[in-house]
Amino acid sequence: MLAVSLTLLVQDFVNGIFLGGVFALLGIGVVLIYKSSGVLNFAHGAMAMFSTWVYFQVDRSLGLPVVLSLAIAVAFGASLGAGVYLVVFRRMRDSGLLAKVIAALAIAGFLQGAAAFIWRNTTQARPPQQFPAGSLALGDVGLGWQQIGAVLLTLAVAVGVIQLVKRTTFGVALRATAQNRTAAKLLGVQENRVAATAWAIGGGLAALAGALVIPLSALTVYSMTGYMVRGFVAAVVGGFVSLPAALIGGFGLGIAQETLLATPLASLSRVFAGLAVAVLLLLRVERFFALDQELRALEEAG
Amino acid sequence: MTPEAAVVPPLGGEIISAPGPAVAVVLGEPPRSRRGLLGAAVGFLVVAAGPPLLLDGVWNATLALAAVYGLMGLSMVVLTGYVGQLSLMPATFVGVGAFASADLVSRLATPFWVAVPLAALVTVPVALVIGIVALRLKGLYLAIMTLVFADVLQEFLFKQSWFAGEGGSVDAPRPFLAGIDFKSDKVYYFLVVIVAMVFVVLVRNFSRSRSARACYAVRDNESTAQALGINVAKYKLMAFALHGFIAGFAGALFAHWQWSVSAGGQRPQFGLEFSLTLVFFTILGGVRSIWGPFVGAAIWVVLVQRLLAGSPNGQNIALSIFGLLVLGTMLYRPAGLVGVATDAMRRLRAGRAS
Amino acid sequence: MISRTRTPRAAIVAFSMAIAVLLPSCALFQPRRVAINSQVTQTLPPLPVSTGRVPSSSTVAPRTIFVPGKGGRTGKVNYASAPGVTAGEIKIGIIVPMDGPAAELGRPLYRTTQAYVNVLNARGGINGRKVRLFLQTACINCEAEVLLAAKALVEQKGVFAVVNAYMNTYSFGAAMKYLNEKKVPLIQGWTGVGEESVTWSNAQTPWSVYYTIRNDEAVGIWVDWMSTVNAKWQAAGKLPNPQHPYWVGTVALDVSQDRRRSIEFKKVWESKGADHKVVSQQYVAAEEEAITRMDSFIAAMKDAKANAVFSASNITMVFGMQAAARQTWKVPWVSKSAWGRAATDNCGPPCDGGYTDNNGWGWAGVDTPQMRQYLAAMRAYYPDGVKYADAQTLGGWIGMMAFEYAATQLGADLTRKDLIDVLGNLKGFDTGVGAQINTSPTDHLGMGQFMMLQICNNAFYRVSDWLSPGGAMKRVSSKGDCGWGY
Repeated sequence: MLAVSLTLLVQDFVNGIFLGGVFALLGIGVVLIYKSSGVLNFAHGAMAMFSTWVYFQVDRSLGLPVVLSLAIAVAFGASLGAGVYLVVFRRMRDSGLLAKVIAALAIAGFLQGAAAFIWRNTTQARPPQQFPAGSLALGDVGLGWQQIGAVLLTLAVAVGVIQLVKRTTFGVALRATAQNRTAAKLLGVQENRVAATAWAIGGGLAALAGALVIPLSALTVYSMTGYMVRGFVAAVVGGFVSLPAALIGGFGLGIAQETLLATPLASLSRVFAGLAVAVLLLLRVERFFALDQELRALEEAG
Repeated sequence: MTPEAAVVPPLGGEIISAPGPAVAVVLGEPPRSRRGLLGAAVGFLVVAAGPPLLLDGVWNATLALAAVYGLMGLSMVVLTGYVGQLSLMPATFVGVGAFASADLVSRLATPFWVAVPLAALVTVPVALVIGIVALRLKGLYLAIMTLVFADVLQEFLFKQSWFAGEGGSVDAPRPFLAGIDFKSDKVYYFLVVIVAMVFVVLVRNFSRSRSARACYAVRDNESTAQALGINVAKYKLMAFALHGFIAGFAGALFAHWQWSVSAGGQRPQFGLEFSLTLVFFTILGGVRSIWGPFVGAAIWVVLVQRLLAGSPNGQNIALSIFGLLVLGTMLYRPAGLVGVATDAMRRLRAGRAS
Repeated sequence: MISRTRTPRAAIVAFSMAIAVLLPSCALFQPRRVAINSQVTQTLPPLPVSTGRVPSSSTVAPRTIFVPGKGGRTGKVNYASAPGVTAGEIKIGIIVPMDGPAAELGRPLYRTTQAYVNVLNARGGINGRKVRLFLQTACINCEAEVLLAAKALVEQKGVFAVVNAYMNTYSFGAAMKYLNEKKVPLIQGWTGVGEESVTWSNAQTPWSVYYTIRNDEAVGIWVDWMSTVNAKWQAAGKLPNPQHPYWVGTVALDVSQDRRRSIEFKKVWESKGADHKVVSQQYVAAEEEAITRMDSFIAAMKDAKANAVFSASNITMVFGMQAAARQTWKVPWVSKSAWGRAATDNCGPPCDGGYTDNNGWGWAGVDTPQMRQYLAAMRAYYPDGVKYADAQTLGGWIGMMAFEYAATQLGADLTRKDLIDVLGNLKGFDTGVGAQINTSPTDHLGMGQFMMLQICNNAFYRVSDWLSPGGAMKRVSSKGDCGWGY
């Protein structure tokens, strides 16, 4: 069928914005973690997955209002992030890339195994939506309330985090560490504290991302791996240093990926992220966003 | 003649050791000692002939699988250990080799002895494509790129019926040569071990060559290497080609070990999980050592998978311990188990000497 | 100083160190074996006398109604007749994932099989031979490790037959080939394999039987049932597109078996007449993000004016119905059998009214002496009572029933060939808990009927007797229609 159905296009576009928000949340977390500690967090998806299981379990066992369960899950995600840094990556600040990547992957595997073991008697776990079920009908197109709410929440949180990095002392310290670690230390920046905070924010964002998307999807121990990869692509858009770019990149990726499904080029949707990343990296897009110092620091670490 | 390089971390002060006498003989150097040569010959005989003579078919099949996995890990040693290119998609190349060989033998009526090397050769261009992309990417970005490209290949290759068969699987029958039926687990083990040994020797040979020294320079500091006039691109591409060849060969042997190869349904067989398993056990064994992947594979196949398969709860615990070991390796002993053993033996010898 | 370290030796040392670390830790952590309380067998209630009408799957009097423990040969045998069979013992093996994400599928099946064996041994075994079950575990997607598990069972443990191996279709291929090559019977009460897919046709797996409904028969029943339901909805004015009441859509996971099922459905549906059309075929990629796109798939089917949806698996039905609820699109859904707890655990109101079949296994709404026996055993061995009594476990139970029946018949001369000959040539074999089984050399699945179930309030209700393709699609209960009317 060559004709592009408008309804389908709009429906996919809406889903794309929703997924894009999830990618953006994950991408921002990845950038924060990378800037503060030089680790590309391959365990980001697993952290999101584990926190979402906690969200599911808290809701099932305690029966609290969804907002409270969500808050607990996000708090758990933050502690998990900070914990992972303090236990593992604090010791690896001078290690090379391979060591950090492998360590993160090992942590991801460990979290997956732990989740599989703890919740092995649960089938088809479905954590609750935060926003009402049902949808808003605009003509033939149905916009789920969960999707609308998630996009608004994502934007608010993302913008909040970006402002945090721009204006607070933490943010200044973060940028200083990313640009020139030695100088920052000389200036009194406590890099462990900065990194732990960044990891905590990253972990919290990951938990939020999982809690927003998984009610509409499936909760398994492999959940969030695909989303994490898309989050990396969003982070790449900003060259791993720019948060606003990661935000835009995430949304852009989501929209592009999903909208393709309504076109005759639907089979490209699955691999769009891969192609996007190839193009971005080959164009050396990071040069657009990074300051010279940050770029040098990046190249040294890579 | 050992480049006892003062290697700056990433991996932390690991020394590339000199080869033993057995290998020296093979490379045309005079044996260091008759005892060493005898020791190597005995060692080879024990490994190659021991299991077929002493153990049952299932153990031979298990050890053959370990050897094949070890060979897959060896491909990673060449790429990551020698040239420092971190790829998270080794299983994809393994899969390409596996399907190529299975297709050649069962659908294109190629003899096994031609199909397996041919499948390995077929994998090389695929690896080179990734290699060309890798030329412009460093460390972090390359890792992400391989992650994503594994997905791309999964979609465009492993889901296509011309490559992966109608039901997503292709037969991979074993050969029959000069009255020897390779369907026997013991015979196939012997074949796999011979092939693995050959590759070990070849990679060892390579690791002591001048090209390898250029590779190490690229691994340790790319810009410095470039400044020294080394053609970085050439060595990166060579690394990928070798990686593809070895992984493809191992994949072909794997397909025939299993008598068939399948792309998987809801979860891909040659996807991220398998790649990470390969990466993990190679790291655990030691990613810069030729024997590292074999040690890691043996631990994975024999200890984690096989010995605990009869126990209702054992495997879960073994998997967690395995994960912790890998983490520990990265934190404390980046040279892997082989590095730990090397250190221990050196200290023992030093202790004995004093 | 040139180092003369011999790295091969280093490797051996390294490996020994690893063994030294790992083995004791495993010994240290040796967990309790999965607790099977064999004393419980004494307290199982006696088999109740059958009263009332038992929905039998056979229209003529079945030739063999099998009640475990009743009938069949008795008396002792005194010699070893086959590998794994001695005067006092029959060894069988099972391969299931006990760890990882699929543990929730593998563990209940292992426990059920072990429970059956315990109960069987408590009443004396098979002709005086006690049955011994050997477990091998492998991760559900690990084709190589599953093959090793099969080899270990056959060559190291020396089992006579393999039962109830639960692996997904794609990872069992190599092991299945091996078992057929070695001529070891495989009795799959549960099936993840063998649905006449290209790789495992009966001709290629003569040593395996599966006991589930054949795909081509199931398709006929789904088509007939959906036609009937649509007609009812049309009469009640509930269809969104009343001009074309027989325009429907299909949704399936994008994996080969499900795709095939979807295509089969379309073929059979459209053969019913010019007004029968499949106007939209959606394929969901087998990954988590794809499920968020279910809203798009629903929109596509709405767009194409579909009036009902056939789902090729339970996953797509559960998520599809949730999306349809979000989009407030109410149409009949018919799905290939939903494994028990998937739809009932967490779907909620969106799944109400969905139709699914019982795969030929009577795990909802069947009350026979054999069913009570099964439920009693489940209650005895599961702390959660009968929560795990569902498709998998009942399928496994049926497999064991067939095994007990065949082995009992063969008496002293129990050989592999004879066993598979009996299991592959059952006629009118009625287990009381599933459809009648009629196997033949060209049909190793054996079941040609299923019962239709409907989901209401997170539970399954039986809404038909045993249905056959081409037969009447009669609804026998209004329970479970959840206000849908039909």
